[in-house]
Amino acid sequence: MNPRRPSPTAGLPAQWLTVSPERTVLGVIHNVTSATRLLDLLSAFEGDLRVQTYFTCTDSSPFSGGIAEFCAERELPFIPWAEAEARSFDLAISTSRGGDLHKLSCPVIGSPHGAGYNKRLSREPGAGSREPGAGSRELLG
Amino acid sequence: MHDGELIPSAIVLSHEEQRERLRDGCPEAVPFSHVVGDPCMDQLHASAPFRDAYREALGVRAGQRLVLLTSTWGGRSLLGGGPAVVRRALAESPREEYRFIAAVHPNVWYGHGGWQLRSWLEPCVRAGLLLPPPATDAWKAAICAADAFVGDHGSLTLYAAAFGVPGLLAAFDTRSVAAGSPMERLGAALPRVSASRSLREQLAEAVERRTGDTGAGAVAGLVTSYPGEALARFRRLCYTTLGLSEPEEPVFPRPVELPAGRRPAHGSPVGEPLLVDTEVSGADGSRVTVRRYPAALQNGSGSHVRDAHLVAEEGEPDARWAGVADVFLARRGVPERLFARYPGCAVVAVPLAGESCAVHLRDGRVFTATWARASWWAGPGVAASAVYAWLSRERTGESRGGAADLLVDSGGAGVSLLVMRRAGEPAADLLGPDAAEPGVVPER
Repeated sequence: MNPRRPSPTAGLPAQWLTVSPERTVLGVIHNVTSATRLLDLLSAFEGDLRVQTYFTCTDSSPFSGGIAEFCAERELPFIPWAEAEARSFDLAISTSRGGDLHKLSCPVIGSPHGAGYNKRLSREPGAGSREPGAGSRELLG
Repeated sequence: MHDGELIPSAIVLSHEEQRERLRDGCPEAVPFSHVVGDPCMDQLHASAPFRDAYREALGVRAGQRLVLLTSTWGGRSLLGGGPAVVRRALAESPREEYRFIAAVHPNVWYGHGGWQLRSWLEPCVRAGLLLPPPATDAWKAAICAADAFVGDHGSLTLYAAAFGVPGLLAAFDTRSVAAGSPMERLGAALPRVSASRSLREQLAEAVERRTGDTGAGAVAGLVTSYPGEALARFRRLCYTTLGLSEPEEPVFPRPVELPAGRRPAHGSPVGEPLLVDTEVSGADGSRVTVRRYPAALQNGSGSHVRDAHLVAEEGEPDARWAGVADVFLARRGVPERLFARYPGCAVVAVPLAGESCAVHLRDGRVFTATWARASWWAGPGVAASAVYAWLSRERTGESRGGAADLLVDSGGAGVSLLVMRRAGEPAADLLGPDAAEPGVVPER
């Protein structure tokens, strides 16, 4: 492990850990819809013990119902958003543009959670800072 | 964008067409865009061989048609303003001929509460509507299993149409759909549900129209620019960003799990590829020991494997195994299809009733293998491998020709397996009834 990096499993002292991952990835959950796609994408890391993935939720979607159950059922290693902001990760993956993604210090890969980009603009309140009618920017939504 | 500053370091797109729209609207984001394809579409295609398994898991009987009702969220969605279309679909369709499944956007479930949605739709559920919970992949299985759909402007409608399922629109919110997007084209291509005519009739017309239709078909090409590659391309992007070498193991789309309720302990519809070691013994070579190991976990050739063959199931998603399998376990009785697709495959086993199987050889010979009694391990897979081992001996002249009573050991005490040569097998058409099946991926 590169000693200059923050411990990938920050929060838990190394002696309590079983695996020593080299990188940490943050899976950003917005609502259950985007979370299902996020998990589909994270199958890209299956079998790789060099990578530890954590999950957080932007707490920005009006459809926040079911997120706690979703995370609990799948035993996602979950950390609160405030902690995600404060900690260092090597990569964040988000399947929605909502919330304060800009407060994360690591690179963020943004992906759609549906069949590409088809919406004129998000009608979901709190889903970002885009102006209604800014159809030209829909691809970032 | 956030205060004029681009947030994501990389923007994943599924089709090159989106990059063009991005160029028009937000050119500063184009250098950060990566077209990887659509992982969901890839998964649907990897699931296509298991259509029958999904139908069975969803309780679709022989001869029944499965209609998928898809609703996104919001007042202008299929469910917006009430379940009139759902009620109508159930009301107008004979129960013995149709089965309906509603795939409802999680935002409807969580926006109103699952109890509330179920309560609203309870009359329909009592009439036979399947309402799988959100946050599962049941909707993907439903797209694979469906004969037709009734949808709206949601992604599921687009996926269903792109997968080749014929359908109608019960709602379509043109105002929320981006100009020039695939969804806009779909809205223009698909017929709307007419209130004045029988829904059954309209669905039947949609099914017929599919063959000559180009509108919805054109949308299929706009869902992904890299069929089958989305996960691999996404993984490359992630590992590059992480500064790590990619794992040697390839990553590829896997079939969707069988919907809960009527599935075996392991949810995948496809069994793992197996490296099968066999040992033929006894004076007349009629005792066969079969030991099966997970092929994917083998590291080189260990001493636990001496005389091995590789067994894969039809629909195996990992091309590495599908390409080198000696034996394929078919899902349906058209072995020629597998022989044509996999030149390295010597034997295709087709399961028969009672855990037995028909073993087809490339040269046209067919053997039936029938277990004398039931045992938890005595299934078509072990039978096929035992016959394969026996035939390998036959080829070298060590075994008798057309029939044998094998004593097979695998998970426990030997079970007798009667092997008989079947006479006069008619040659099946290479392009059998599966050739025109919706959603079956062409050879890549």
